[in-house]
Amino acid sequence: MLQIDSLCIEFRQERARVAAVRDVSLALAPGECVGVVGESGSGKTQTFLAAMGLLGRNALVSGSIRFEGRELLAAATSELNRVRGARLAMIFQDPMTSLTPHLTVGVQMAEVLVCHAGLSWTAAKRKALDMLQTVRIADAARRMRQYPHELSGGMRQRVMIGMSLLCEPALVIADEPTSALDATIHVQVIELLAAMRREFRMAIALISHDLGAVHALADRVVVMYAGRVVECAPATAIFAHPRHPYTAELLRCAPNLSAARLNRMPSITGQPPDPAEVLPGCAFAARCARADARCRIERPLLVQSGGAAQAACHHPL
Amino acid sequence: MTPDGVLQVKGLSVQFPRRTAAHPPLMAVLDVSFVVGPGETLGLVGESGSGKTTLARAILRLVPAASGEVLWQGLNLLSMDATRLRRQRRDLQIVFQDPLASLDPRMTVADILGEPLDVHEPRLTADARQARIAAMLDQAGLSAGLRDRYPHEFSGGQCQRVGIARAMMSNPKLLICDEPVSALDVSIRGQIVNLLVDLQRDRGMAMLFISHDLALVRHVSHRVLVFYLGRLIEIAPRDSLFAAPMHPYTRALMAAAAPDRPGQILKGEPSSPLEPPGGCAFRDRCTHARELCAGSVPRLEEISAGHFVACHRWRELPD
Amino acid sequence: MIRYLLKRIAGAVPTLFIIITLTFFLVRAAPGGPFDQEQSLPPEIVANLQAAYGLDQPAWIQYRRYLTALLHGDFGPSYKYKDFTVTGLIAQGLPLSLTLGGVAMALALALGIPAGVFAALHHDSAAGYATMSLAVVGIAVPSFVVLPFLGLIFGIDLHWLPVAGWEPGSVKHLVLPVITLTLPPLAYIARLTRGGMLEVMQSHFVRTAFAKGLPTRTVIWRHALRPALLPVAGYLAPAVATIMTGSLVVESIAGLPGVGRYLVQGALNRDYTLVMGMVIVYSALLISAGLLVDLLYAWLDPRVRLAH
Repeated sequence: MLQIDSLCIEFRQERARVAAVRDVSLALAPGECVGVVGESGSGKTQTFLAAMGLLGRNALVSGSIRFEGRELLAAATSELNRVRGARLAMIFQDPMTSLTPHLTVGVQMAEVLVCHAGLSWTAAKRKALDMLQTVRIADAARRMRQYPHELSGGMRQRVMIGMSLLCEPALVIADEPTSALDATIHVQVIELLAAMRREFRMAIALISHDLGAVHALADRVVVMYAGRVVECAPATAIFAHPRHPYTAELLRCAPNLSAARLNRMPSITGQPPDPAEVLPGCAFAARCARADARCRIERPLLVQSGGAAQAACHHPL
Repeated sequence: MTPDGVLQVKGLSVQFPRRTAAHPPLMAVLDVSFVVGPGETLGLVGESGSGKTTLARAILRLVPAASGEVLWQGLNLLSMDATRLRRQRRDLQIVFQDPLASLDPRMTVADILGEPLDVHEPRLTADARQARIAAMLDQAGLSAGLRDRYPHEFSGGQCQRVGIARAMMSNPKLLICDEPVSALDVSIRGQIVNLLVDLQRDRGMAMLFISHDLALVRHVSHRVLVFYLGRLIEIAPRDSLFAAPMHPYTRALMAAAAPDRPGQILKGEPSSPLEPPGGCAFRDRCTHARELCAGSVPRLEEISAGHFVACHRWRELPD
Repeated sequence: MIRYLLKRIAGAVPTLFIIITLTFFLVRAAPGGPFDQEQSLPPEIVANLQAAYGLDQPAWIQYRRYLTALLHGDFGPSYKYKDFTVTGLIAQGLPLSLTLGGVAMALALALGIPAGVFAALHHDSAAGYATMSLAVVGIAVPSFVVLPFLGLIFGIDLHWLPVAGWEPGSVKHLVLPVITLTLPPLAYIARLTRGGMLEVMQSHFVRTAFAKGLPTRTVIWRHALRPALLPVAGYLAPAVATIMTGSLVVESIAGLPGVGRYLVQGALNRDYTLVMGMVIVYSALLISAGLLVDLLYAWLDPRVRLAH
């Protein structure tokens, strides 16, 4: 349903061209939930912003992103607008800044239906009200008339989720939906996403660095580093037995209250490479305990690596 | 007797006035008291609206306190005049959450690290000054060649190292860390936290470590304070808190962080700090709430060595 | 809301009071008096005139008398234009000046905002740069150059519009003056709108609006425009002041019988009462503009609350 092939995104900056996404390919089947994991510089967000046509003007994109058979890259804005918000929706990280401050919740939700489903404002607002109740916002009628700043963080995120589901999209891209929220609200939002998935049966691309959320929701996990996919495996497999050293390190560093307390907090030495740099060989080699001379010269390709997993590593685990 | 390196907070309250005098002020911090000993790390845990950040700022008089005392080595910081306070600030430093935003973008690293020396040790020779800056860069894990760079040229982790280095320049006896690693990638956090722990151990300084990340707090703290809507609801030594949390909110926090722990999954949101429910602030979300919880605000009671809980019904709670 | 308005109006009274007091004494501090221009008046007649108007009294007594009269709505007689009261003079000329200024303000907004939006959307193209360059011209060229220049082209060369003068009820006499008055605020508003728009287009909520598949014009007009106009709202009160001072020059050059000339002429003639009257009128206008702007802010950004 969503097919990304050889996607490359570069940004034109004053002095150089910076590659944010290098040759990324991934696919989502209908109804599937894929967790896209990575840290700063991984390119995970840019990949999906490209699908939504939301990259800045200084972005140079090549490759292909096909959604329900239609090519999205370089599609005309009018064509793109038929798809986004309706068949393909996106939820953003910070619901405070991602909702328009001077429009009421009701208007922001209803306009999606007015625009895509051709409903009248009255009918659209009624449906929006229903959706607010579906996402478990109490006192929905009053909330419809309120402005985003009058709602709490958790409620705003529910509004965003509800807003994205109004046209019953085939795919919802959730970009760090829990990062800006308190831990006790995380759980509620993840549960809500799971419930909505059961009810609407849409596919979800969950972009997150929160491995707990990914573990709870994802069927499959894609790990990105320095603009490339480094591992791709079913969720159960990847948490039990990661193949790529970066994935293993990431799991080791994840905050874990259940495990015993360690004396030194785990971390990966060094830092991710500067996106402006073009490195020969594996981008993770500088920080990898298993790296050898070959890793520094020859970039590993994404290959099958035990069962349904794929890893881009010369010395997978 | 001046208790060296000891911070004692007594009955500290911080309020923010509302738009009209008709409305009661927003109580951000309510009657908080605790002690930090030299070389001790106190973890402050809570979510948004808990008041932990406001508390830290009030201790340093970055925001005005409504009532209470902050005794640093026996002297009340809140009633000091500006000159004396400035001298005390040498010993009390803070590291902020957003690494890049906390650094002046027009100052090089060398300028940033040199400024505390200019303020507190103006009689240093130029050579001694350079030597101190170089030594600090090294301790913070930054290469010497970075001294003439500007903050925007650094990654988040490096910026935070600069922020920590700056805080350490005046050899503080107490370091407040307000969510020092929340804005950093998970794989880098350990580097910064380990740096802080090493610095603390080497210099015997005390730390107030504010974070919403329980695993992180468990790692660094000797004792932990849990906040909810401006009040201190549980204090305990680290192991005691994580092995046997008592307050229902603490348990809920743990359950959210580790699904294998018992504790209710919280529904709803914290009530607005503008309209706190009477009695225990947590009762509108607590599954164990009963009528008596609406009566009065629960006081901290000692339930075992060093373990205090503010809950009317702690005796009746299941284990 | 009503309480807020009443509070603001009540707050304006002390401001007006201070303005009146300052002006009253400042004008009298300038050398000369209202009857100096009159040639060949023997000193006894001048002294009589001064006594008749109460100008031989000490300043503070005159001040008290003035304030008392003011409270009864009496702005006093004009010292220069005998047979006329200040109230009468102002009432005669104010409608024309208000029309002039009001139309100029409305045009500046109606043209400036779309121009700014256009410039922002095409900011890295020739069209965008051209619009902003025109704006610079609008700000830089003074009105006493613009009006005669326009008069030259449209009046003398093309014979489309009259160069100057006025007939009651005429519209074509007002065209060139209005255009002249409109240009500087239009240019500022275009620049401010462009700047505000450029910034708002980068914000997260605009990104969300695009992500919802809304057509670009909906995103701009419904989501982006209001926050982008905050800087323009901040400029509106100074814009009113600009138009007011601009009207002094324009009315003089175009020979329009508005109130603009009264302020300058009154000051030159030491026509104290007329000057006072004009100062009060202008101050009241400016204070009202300020109040309206504050109300506008609250509408543009609901996070701004009016109560304080």
